[in-house]
Amino acid sequence: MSKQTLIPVGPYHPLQEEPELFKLYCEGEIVKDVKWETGYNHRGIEKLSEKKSYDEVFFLVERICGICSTSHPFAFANSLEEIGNIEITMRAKYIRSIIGELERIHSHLLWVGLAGHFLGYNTVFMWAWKYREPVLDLFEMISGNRNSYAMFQIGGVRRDIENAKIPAIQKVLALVKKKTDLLVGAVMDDPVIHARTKGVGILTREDILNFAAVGPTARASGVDIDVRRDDPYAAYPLVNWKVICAQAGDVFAKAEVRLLEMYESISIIEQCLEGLKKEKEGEINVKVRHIPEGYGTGRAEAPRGEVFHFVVSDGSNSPARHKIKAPSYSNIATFKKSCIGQSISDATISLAAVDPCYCCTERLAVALDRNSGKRIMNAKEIIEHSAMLTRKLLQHE
Amino acid sequence: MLLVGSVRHADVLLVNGSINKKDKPRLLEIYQQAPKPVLVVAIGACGCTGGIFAEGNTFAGPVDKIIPVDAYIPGCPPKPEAILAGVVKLLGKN
Amino acid sequence: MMVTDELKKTFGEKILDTVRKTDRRISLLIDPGALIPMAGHLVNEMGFRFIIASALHTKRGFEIFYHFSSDQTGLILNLLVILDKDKPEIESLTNMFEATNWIEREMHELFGINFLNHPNLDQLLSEGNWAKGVYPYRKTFKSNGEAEA
Repeated sequence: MSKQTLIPVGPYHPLQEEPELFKLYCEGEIVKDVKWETGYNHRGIEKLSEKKSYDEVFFLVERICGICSTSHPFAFANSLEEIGNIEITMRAKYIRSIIGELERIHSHLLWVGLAGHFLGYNTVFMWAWKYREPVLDLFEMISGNRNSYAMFQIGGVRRDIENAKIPAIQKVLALVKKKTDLLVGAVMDDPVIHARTKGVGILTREDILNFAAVGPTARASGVDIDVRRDDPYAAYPLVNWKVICAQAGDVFAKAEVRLLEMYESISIIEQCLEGLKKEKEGEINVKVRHIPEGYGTGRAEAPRGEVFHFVVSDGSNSPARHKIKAPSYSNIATFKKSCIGQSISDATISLAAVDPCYCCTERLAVALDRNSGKRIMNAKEIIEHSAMLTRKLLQHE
Repeated sequence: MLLVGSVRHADVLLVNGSINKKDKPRLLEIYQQAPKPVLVVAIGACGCTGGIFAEGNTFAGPVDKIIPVDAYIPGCPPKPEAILAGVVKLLGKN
Repeated sequence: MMVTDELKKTFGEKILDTVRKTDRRISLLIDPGALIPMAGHLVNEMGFRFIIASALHTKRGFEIFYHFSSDQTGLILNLLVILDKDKPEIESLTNMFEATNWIEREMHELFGINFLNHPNLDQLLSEGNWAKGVYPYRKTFKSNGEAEA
């Protein structure tokens, strides 16, 4: 029997008709209102955390999000080490920052690919995801896994990055730097991309402050905040790097910030690798026997912005309360400002520009007629609609 | 392996992630919409058993409590090679 | 510390206790009635950013930590309020800024805390996940004050 077998495999969002996460209420082509429905991925993690020992919680929190998997253990470790006044070794600081920055690189590459997909630039999508692979391979070499690296533990890190591995890492960084040059050239100078992203999805400085948005979303609107510099942790105060900002607040500015940040990440990692060579191999954690009573706030700059953990300890081996804030929680709400008044195609790229975390956007968007409530377009159709607009612009080139 | 936009064109349903109470009716709906016969693959620790989230207060899975499952691919997350190998093995049997 | 000095000058007796863990981690226990003016002062006059709010249910009642960041200095300033264990309610901050909208809804859903005058206290996470009127993050306390497992 010859049977054609069709199996859905990636891109990242398998597009389905139901349920809708973002409901775009439209009059004709224009988005008049946006409603965000959530709860599909609510797993009760904060409550689960209370049932687990501190060591186990690290494995729990790194599974909050597949893309910014490291930022949660990073912030959690910072909060515990604050409660216990624990100082980690220099080697551990370098390793933590290396992992954090490698994650930023692969996350931004993923975003560039997705943005390309939403615009109908599938070559950009393929490129970005292809050059993500060497980074994921690096993670596998360092930690044994492509995501959820289990590198963090209280008092340091669980695995060393042996000096023998450093040349392999440097080789991948050189490759990524070259490919980023290509991507930057392709994206930043392309007139069609300019047409699709400049002036689109604008968030003003006032919007950012009103929503208390964070990360590249904030920096693209001229709000100069970055936890790595403002409240330094791990190896960030030990190396030279700069915070990337833009002023326009549109989709283009957000892309620009993410692309240029990748160069800074590469530089941070290179400097940390040099730092590693000076520290004794194997000194990667300090013994922690007990977390005293008290509370601690820990934060980290994830690819999407500030991750914040608040832990209340009652002196036992489990958190008494563990509050987690992901950056997307602060950033997604900005859709109220960035999407309303835009065309449907522009609304999709505006939503994507905030880089909402996968956990929040399994099923992206649907367009509904404002008056009748009837569905005009499903998620796939919205993306196709957006791609069509790009093709039209390309024809006029 | 091709992506399909609608479950009505699918021969295989890959279900990953843990299923919470809000997801459950959607999963059932999708399964009902799929033309039979359809093969269901539970992917990852979450799909197979609920994994680390099984004790959560919104957990409604694992997948095989909601719809029949033909193959399980464990891992957290399973590597791409594991997913491909599992699907190939399943198709080989059918 | 300059920040706490300025706050003490303006809000004096509304600050019930100060805990300074380090120069960058300070918590103030405040009168719930002072939340709105203090939050407004921090954000509008002193350039702080609202990070998030953490609610917890303890034998003291319902406690909410409002976390604020001074990005220029790296300071995290927590404003702590303790609300009545039988009727936990406090004025919503959302009429002042958007940033608190969702977290107040979430705290309402999980703990049953009422945020007075919130523009839309609709469910955020729970529809279908648990029943109305059930507040899954509430704890029950034994007569000696200990939380039940």
